[in-house]
Amino acid sequence: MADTVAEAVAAAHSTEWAAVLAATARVAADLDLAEDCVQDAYAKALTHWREQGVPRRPGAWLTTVATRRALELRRRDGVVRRKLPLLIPDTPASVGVFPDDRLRLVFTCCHPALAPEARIALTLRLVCGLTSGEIAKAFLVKETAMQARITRAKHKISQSGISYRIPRPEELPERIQAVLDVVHLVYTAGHTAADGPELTRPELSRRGIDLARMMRLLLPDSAEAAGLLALLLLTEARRDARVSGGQMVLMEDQDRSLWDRALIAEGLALVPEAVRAAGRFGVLAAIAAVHAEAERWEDTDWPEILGLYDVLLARWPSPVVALNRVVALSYVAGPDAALAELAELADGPALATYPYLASTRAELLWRTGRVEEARAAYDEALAFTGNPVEVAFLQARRLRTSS
Amino acid sequence: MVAKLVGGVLSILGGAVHREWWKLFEDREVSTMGKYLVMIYDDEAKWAAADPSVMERNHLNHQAFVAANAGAVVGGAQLGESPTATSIRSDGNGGYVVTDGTFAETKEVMGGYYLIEAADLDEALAIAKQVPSPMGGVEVRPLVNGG
Repeated sequence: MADTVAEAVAAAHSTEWAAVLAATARVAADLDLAEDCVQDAYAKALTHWREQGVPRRPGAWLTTVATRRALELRRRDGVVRRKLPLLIPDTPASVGVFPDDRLRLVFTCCHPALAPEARIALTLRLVCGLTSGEIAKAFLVKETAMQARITRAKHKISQSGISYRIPRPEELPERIQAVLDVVHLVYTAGHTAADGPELTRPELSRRGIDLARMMRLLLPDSAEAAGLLALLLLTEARRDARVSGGQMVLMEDQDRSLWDRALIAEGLALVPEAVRAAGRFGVLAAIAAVHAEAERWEDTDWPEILGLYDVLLARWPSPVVALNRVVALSYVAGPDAALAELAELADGPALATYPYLASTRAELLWRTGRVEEARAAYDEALAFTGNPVEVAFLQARRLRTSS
Repeated sequence: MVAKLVGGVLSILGGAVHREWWKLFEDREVSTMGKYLVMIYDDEAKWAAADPSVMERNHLNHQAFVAANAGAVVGGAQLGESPTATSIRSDGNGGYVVTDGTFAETKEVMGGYYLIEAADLDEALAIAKQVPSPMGGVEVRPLVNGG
């Protein structure tokens, strides 16, 4: 019995946290107070649910308990002079149109006036319900440093007057993009850890996908929200095939029977809607979809992928995109043509220090049979990476050039 | 500002005449309006090299900005150039050290400011984006407790 209750509370924590906190924050008009009240409500649930049984709608029970406590404390607090100004509330009209408070919470956590790493930390803390310790561990920083980061961000929200509201219609596209970027960063931080012993941090990836699902649900009209979810699902589908025995496996060598068909089906179903707006995530999702649809590596539709990278490069140029486009080009026009383009890219300052430039050149040189040059390029790539799994991968590739 | 807020309140009330609307106005102002300092940072070297017509146009742009945001602009001024600045630091013993020049040596220096009133940071940023600052940019800072 006790275990069932603990399980029910844990389940409510992972599925209801954001909604409970978001509703409480609106009533409390203070993020710290709201957090305290929500934590208190979960603690109460453990004892109350044991005595009275698990309520039919746990989220509603928790919200009622937490908001009641918030109102109580605010009333009591009324006489005490407040340290910080209150969160600025949304207009009644907007509350009517967007009844789900989770959107308010997400938009507040991902406000562009906050530093990017603070947006990620706040989102994981307030929307996903992770503790400062868990977030610190995921990003390999000290817990005290993470706590300070979160406190600073909350302070900026209340002091500078970042509202707890849905952005105005004219701000909405930009603000939605900012939120989706944060969700994407959460996922990619888990997908390829920059350093540390593991290549992936599945917990962060899972949270990224949870967030993408939430955004899809809350913003059903946003093609980019559909695009982001599709992209993450199609990428996640390949997770088990990406690492084998602690070693990184290139897509070329991946065992495609390990790809998660259910995730691929779900992702592919979203793509037609995602590409409608031709946003960045829509195009990235389309690229992932082309890969997912190839039964074998040889079946990959490279001209289609190259065309999609051309679109990306024209509208959202970045070192990663430029490099990936060169790889796609190598399968359409051959490695020599790709090497020629790569040489041009290497002259630009943006890419000169980009770690994957050398490894890409090494792969292309290897394919053209220039073994000595390939080995030198692998050495250069090794000097740039700190992730042990990537180091092992590059060393294995380099070894081929010595035999 | 009054007209704008009252308009907003009236539209919420569906246009009905509400005799105590000033109360709502008061509540709203206390709970949601805050003041922000918009500091204009410019590269003075660029201004020194600029054609007088550029300065003239900038002047007109500032007038247009104030006219377009009359409800939000509480105050503002252009400052003397950085060589006119005098800095005073406490020496820690109850005395002062007075030096010639700005407090911090930077390429871009504060050349002017506006004090504005806004419902929240988004509104303040939307106004601040309109502030002419062709040789640099602006920094927006909230006044503590809404000023």
